[in-house]
Amino acid sequence: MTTKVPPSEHRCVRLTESDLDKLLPKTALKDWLEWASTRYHLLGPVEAEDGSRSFAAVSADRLPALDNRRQCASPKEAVLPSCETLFTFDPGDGQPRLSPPGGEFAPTLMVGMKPCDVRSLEVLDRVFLDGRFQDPYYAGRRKSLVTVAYVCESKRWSCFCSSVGDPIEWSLAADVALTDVGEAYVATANTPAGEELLGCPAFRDVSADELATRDIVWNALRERAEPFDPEKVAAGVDWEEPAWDAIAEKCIGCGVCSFLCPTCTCFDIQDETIAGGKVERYRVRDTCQFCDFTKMGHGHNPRPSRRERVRQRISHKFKYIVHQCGICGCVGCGRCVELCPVNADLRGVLSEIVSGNGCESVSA
Amino acid sequence: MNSQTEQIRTEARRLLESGEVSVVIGYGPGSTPARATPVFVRSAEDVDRLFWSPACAQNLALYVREQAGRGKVAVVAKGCDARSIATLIQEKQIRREDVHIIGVSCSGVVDPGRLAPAGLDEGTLKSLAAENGGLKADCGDGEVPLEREAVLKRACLFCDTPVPPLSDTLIGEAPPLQPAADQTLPEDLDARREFWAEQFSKCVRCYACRQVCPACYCKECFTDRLPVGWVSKRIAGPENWMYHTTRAFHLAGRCVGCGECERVCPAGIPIQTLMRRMASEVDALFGYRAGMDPDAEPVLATYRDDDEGPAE
Repeated sequence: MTTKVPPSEHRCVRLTESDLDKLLPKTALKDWLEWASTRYHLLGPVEAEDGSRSFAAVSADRLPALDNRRQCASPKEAVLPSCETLFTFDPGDGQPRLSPPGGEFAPTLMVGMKPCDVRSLEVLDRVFLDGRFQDPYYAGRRKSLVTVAYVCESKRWSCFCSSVGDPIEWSLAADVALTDVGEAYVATANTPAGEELLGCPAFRDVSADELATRDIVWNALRERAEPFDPEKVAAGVDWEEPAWDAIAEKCIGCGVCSFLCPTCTCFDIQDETIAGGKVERYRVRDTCQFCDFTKMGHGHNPRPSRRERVRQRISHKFKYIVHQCGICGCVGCGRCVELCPVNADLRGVLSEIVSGNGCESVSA
Repeated sequence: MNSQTEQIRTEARRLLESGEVSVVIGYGPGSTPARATPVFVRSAEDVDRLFWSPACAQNLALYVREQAGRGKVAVVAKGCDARSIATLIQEKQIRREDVHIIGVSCSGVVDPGRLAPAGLDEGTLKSLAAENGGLKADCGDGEVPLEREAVLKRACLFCDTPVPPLSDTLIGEAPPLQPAADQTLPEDLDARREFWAEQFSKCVRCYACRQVCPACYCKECFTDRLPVGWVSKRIAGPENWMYHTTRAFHLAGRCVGCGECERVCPAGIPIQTLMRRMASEVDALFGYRAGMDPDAEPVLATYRDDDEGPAE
């Protein structure tokens, strides 16, 4: 077990001046993005034809969807792609050569991240930047990323951010946080990069009334709805917990919860022969929910059934990572709640762990 | 409480009290009225955990196979689910005498992922019910009819077996519905290849489609046999293509079209479009439809001298 580590400094330079709040009329969002597009590659929530959402390129002509609907895919794809080349190896003619993937990471502005999305980057940072080793692939992408949070105007039925933390505090870790106050957004800059973004002429001065409206939105989002507390979950997580049997019985062992989870970080590393007799080493998303995840070279599998696998995922999120990285691994985004094929609602499992009472789901 | 719920509970109580089955696998209410979750009832006192609604999307045949060898089980099955069970019997994965099928006639189940795009806020949903083949929902302002085409699991729109062809107890009657005409794919092969290349490029390889499928029961899927290397783990167009097309071939003549693979796909790949195409090819060539008769021989596992070859 490693000791708790302080967050990396590069992302926690907080501003101290008081005039960090500006007003962005909704009609001026376009102008701001136009202005920002000369400095950054822009990403934001975009709706596909079938109604699904993902983070994709946005622009003044293709505005990000700013509302409480969630993107199916999480922002981790921008910093931890599901599949990426680590290096290629060329045996050469007696001159073996190892080449890392070339290229620089373009400065990227991710607009419209939910508070939970912002927090998920903090969790990933703890894993990939703050330990004894920095992951250079992650670090390259992360350090070129500037974030704009959109503070949800309300929670969706599946959200439980305020049960695992303070979504407003999380939003204020983004470079800029936007809060909907009706006809405009109150923009709060939290870092020098954010302050620079608010230098765009599209912003106006904000009134005390507008700030008061913002505070109402903030306080509403902070209200805790779910009957569990992450510390109690961490204390209650036990290997012999009967909740594991109940969830394992219906769990189908797919990778939906972890592949879409914004904080699940596991990957596998594979070597493959590619054209020209070269070898490529790549890493690819993997999950503790797959049966071969812990299968050893000699054939033994220490997590032989779904019971051990679901136990691992939930224990890791709420207990192990807290010890290892000093942060709760769940940000309450609700993706797993909405997308689990068998509706094994995580909140129900957590409530059961805390209370010790059996319950099928939160509403049942 | 609707009458199906009442009848399911009555039958479950009878089966458990008499000791005929050790477990009843059915549906319980999920997180919202648009969702159901599988429940395993082992005592007559617990039958009230069971319910029926148009939210009962999962194909529970999956769990019947997992229980195989542990005594007789009862399972709540829609038309498609019952066909899956028949397929498992045909393929000798379960024995007919080990399963009591509580068949429920079904007019289609809701895909909760389609509610938001259809403009419905699942969070405000108070109730969801089926009525004469239609659907009605209460979002706080009283019951309103829902458009089936917009909110049903897509596969349900093409369903031609709303009444389970195989059951021990049958609940409900055939709904007054006709299957929709299938989506047509581009005639031009290059355009079709382009269509699927784009669809498969979205795949995240979570394998939810495989895991949720009662017919995907291989102990070790070809995708997991890394030392053999049928397909690499790389999440990219060609590898995803290999996975999906191989799975489609493996399910030809076996897929019953329940559409769970498509419903659970987080990437929105229209997997059933491919599966229905395979099913229609098998029907055209061999006059065979998967899971309609538990005593039939599985079509692609048999050989007959007089089988016609493919058209030249």
